[in-house]
Amino acid sequence: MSDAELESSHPSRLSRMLAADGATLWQPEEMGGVLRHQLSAPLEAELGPVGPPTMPGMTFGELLHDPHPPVELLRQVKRFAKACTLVRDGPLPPEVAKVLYFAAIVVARLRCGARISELNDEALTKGMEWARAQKWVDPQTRSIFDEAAAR
Amino acid sequence: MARTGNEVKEGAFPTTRWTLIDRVRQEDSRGHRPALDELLRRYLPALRLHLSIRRAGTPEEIDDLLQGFIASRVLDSNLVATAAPSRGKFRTLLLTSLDRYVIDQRRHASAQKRSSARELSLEEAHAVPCSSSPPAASHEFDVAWVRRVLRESVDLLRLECEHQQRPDLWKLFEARILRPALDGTEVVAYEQLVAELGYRSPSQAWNALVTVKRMFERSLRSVVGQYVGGDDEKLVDEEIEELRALLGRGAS
Repeated sequence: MSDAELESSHPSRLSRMLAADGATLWQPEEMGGVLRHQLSAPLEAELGPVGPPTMPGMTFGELLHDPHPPVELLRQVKRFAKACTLVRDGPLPPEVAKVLYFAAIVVARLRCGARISELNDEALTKGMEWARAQKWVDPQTRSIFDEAAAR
Repeated sequence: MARTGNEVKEGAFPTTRWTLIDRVRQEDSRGHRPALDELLRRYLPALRLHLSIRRAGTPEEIDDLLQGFIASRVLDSNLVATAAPSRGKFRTLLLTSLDRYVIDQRRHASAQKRSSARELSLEEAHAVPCSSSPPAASHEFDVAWVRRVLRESVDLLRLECEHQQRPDLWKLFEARILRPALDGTEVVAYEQLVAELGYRSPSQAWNALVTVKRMFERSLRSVVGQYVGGDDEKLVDEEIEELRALLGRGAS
């Protein structure tokens, strides 16, 4: 940072630096990028060590698209996502966390025939419809919700 | 691979609790003044700008006035020794003293002219303030002061990132906070940034941002603490709040 840059900067922009504690990592237009990053992250990066039958280094995305995902892992993903929705300016934008949350619940139903949430069908359908309506959700994740809606 | 924010050791950051003003006082008595040099280096640009806005003279005359002020009021009259939190803000004291010095200098110059039987021209009369009470600090001076504080804080943060061998934290701060604040640059896109910095997950990126924001806040508090009295957290809070308000006024 040069003195010239500092001198020419507008005070209103500089004031954001003094309020840097309020700066967030996430911009609304970056939701898609954050979701893609989350789906490409290894499960253990967020959930801690995960053992067999999961492949080492398995990512969130791989779990959600596995034909036979371990239901306990889906539960852990759901819990992680739910915790993220409760924290303002937390590790995940609440919108991204919500997509992950509903995806884990839906995959448990579709692939394992298990209910891992106390949500009733109406609330789950509403959540899925919301997720499908988000333009930044990638086609692969959207296909999970599409499949559930088609049943 | 970048480390997570959780790995930053608490206490590794130099949380300086001394005040620069105290150091200036102590070193005065020993005849050494590196701390005073530091203090003046930081805030002379704001004082120079203040005099320039007040149209105190040509750039050369302003430099002469500043040099005279430092020699006469800061060093000889030991201005720093009179600074104390209970007596008001240091920057106000500095500015008030400078304004009084300029008024005195002009009166002295006018008196010399009168004694040489010259009448004071109308222009000169306007140039000499009638009141002995100096004008309030200009907004420009205040903003220049905040700029210096931010400059020092950012420099301190950069050094700390280097010290901790966390170039990723500095890059993150620069991309998401500093550059947009300096020139309105768009923030570097999230995906580009995390790919460049090697963060494995959004949580890791988030931890890093939280860490660097805390580090910057500590830098800022340290710099502000050096002139308001670093032992008093309340004074530091108040000063930061005032600096924020000063910049906010500039936006209106």
